[in-house]
Amino acid sequence: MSDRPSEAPATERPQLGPPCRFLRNKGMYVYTDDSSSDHASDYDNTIFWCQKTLKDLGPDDGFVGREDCREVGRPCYESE
Amino acid sequence: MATWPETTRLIGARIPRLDGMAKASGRAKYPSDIRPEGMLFGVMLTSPHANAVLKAVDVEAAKKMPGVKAVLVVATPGEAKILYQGQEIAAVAAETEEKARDAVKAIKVEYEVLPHVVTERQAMAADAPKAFPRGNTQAGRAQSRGKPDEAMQKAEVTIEGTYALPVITHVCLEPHGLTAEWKGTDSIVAYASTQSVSGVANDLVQNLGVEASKVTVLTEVMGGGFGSKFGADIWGVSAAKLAKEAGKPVRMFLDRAQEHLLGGNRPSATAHVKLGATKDGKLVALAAETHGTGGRGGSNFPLPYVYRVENSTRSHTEVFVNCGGARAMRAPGHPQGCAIMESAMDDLAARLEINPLELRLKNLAENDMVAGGINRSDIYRDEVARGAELIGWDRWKPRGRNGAGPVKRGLGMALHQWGGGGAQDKQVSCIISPDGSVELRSATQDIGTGARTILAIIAAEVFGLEVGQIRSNIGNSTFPPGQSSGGSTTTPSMAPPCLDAAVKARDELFKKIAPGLDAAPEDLSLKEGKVLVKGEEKLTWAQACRKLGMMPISVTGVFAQGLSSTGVGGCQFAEVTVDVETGVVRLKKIVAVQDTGLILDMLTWRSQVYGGVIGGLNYAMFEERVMDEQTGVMLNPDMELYKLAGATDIPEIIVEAYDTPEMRSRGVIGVGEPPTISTAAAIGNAVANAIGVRVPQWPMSPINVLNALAKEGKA
Repeated sequence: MSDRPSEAPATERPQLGPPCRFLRNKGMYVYTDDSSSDHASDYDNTIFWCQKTLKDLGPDDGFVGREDCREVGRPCYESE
Repeated sequence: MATWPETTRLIGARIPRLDGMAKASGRAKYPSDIRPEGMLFGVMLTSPHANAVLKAVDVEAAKKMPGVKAVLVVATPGEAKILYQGQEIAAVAAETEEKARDAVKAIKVEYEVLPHVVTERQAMAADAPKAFPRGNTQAGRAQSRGKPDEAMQKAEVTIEGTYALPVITHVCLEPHGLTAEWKGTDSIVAYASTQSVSGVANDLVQNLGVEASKVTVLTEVMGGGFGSKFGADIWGVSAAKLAKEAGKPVRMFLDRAQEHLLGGNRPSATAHVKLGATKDGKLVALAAETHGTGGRGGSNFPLPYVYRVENSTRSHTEVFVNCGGARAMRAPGHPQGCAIMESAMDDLAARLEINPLELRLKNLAENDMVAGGINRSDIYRDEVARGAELIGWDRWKPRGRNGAGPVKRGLGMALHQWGGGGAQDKQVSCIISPDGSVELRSATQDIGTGARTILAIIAAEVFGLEVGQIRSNIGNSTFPPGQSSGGSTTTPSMAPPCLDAAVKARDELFKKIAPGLDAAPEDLSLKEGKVLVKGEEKLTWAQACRKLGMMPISVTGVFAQGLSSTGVGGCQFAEVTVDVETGVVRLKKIVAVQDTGLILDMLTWRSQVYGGVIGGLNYAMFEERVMDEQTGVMLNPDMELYKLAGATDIPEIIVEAYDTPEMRSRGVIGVGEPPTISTAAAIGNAVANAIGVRVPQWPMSPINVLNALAKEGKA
């Protein structure tokens, strides 16, 4: 197990709100009657994108993800 | 609880696709075939750099090019960061594709090129440039169960191995894209190659500021999605904006290189796995450190997989690279998790000198309960027995005992599982017209699985008609809400409301015509195109419908419990030959045994399993995105160097449906994804069985086989 990558340094946790309303993942299209897709499984392999940019980078060029798009301090974050 | 008919005439039979001849003959018009009057051709300008700052974009020269009707800058100069080759910069619409491409070349772009990381090795290197503000890696959530350290120490036998699967791309035969046509100033029709007409419509509403009621997305047929075509994408919205500016429809489909670069990919997976077991092959512990890249996130996968491990520990690291982003791809995460777990299981069996089939059966959970009170372990045992019989597992020999010559023969196997349940909020409308025609409508689409045919079969069963008499009208976002084609959920989501709609429409018909027949509605039935009263033929279907006068019957069906379920399993076996002098692997035979509840159309069901296996064998044998660490570009963004199986690479494939009364009673479960999961794992194990050496790196290409042999001193 020698090639384990170095981990990013821990940073202060930003304030989190509900998911940004532009956050998208496949589960939202498929399990439209089920909110369970909002939660991470043990192995979270959900692939997210932003409905504003239509790619995996937000309008602020930051990452799009389950936690990333709950950061209320992001300039592109919109809860409602 | 609703139930499917006990005796069926059509359901479960082998029914050809309604659109099969149209597709085979070329009559079917795919979205990329649509040519509205006056249509312009759109082309995207994308970044040649993997990491850069966009300094300036000058489109003035392009605008003046002959035939150019509209130019759009997509990325904002001075602000936009370019994070992968292929990232969208600008778009052009012109009278011909050639003129559009010339205009794209005339756009002047100034970049500040930055150091990139395009492979996991490059991103994880100690001296790697920090390509992303948060760093090139990020630890995922740790998983732990039981007491893995203690259990591993007590294990009587342990094995360790590192297994790796590359990034692969979706390679949809029809590229991503749409043709946008404005109807007036505020209504738009998009002919989209999508697995979600509603998803594309939603994106157009959001990004164009158009009312939802004025957006129509049409997908009559489409040429593959595999999880990568849920939205309008930047190019689709660009087409709509260009069309508005030009006042003409604009067709915007990615070219093949762009398809590889930005149309989506399946994340890579690398795992260092340690298994601990008792001498008789009972797993006691698993420890794994894994990583993968999906571009900028989402590369995790299930591990442990299928087998019961009481004590396990797992850490996963996301690796970020300057490459196109991952998208969901047929059974997200499962092919990777399956290949890694099943390789380790096979290596453990070899160490223990136990038949790998027996090792697998020994390590199934006692109770692996899925919906409907089904113990999946019981199903697995039956499926493995059937698969072993079909592949001829009695010919299996331990590793390294498969012939004295250079060509070795080997057998391998693997198990997989999937959900495949349905959403409960979708609708199907059914219209019976006075002329006797029957139309079904829903805003779902056929990604290629046979959705159109499945719905028609259900209605024809209820109405006593032939399948071809039903018009299954799907692929239109303005119809009642339908299922997006993903997660193997389309059929289990759409079949229940379809049955409900057909039954409601039939009952409504009976209510209307019964008085004229001096009968009660409950005395009526339908059979072979006839209306029967207490079992006696009274009218033809056409005569009955004429009695509706001027008013058609129009009803909407909704979901009902009891008609669909979730939780399936299956196993696959592979037989290969490997030339240890050249490293060439040839597939000889693959057996796929699969359960999926009630099978509505045995022909399209089998077709899905064949397709899944072929997708899986491509993953096993050929596919690999190759990135150049020096330049940051993809070296094989085409269909020549990005390898896929040709006809002669496809072996005999035996598809076996685990189709029993117990399975049928479960209702409908999707089968799109499960049969693609374990193919690569079974082939990898067959190769190891043949040559006596684990090839730890997929695909099973000559170079990877020879490298593995060389490492063991056998090349």
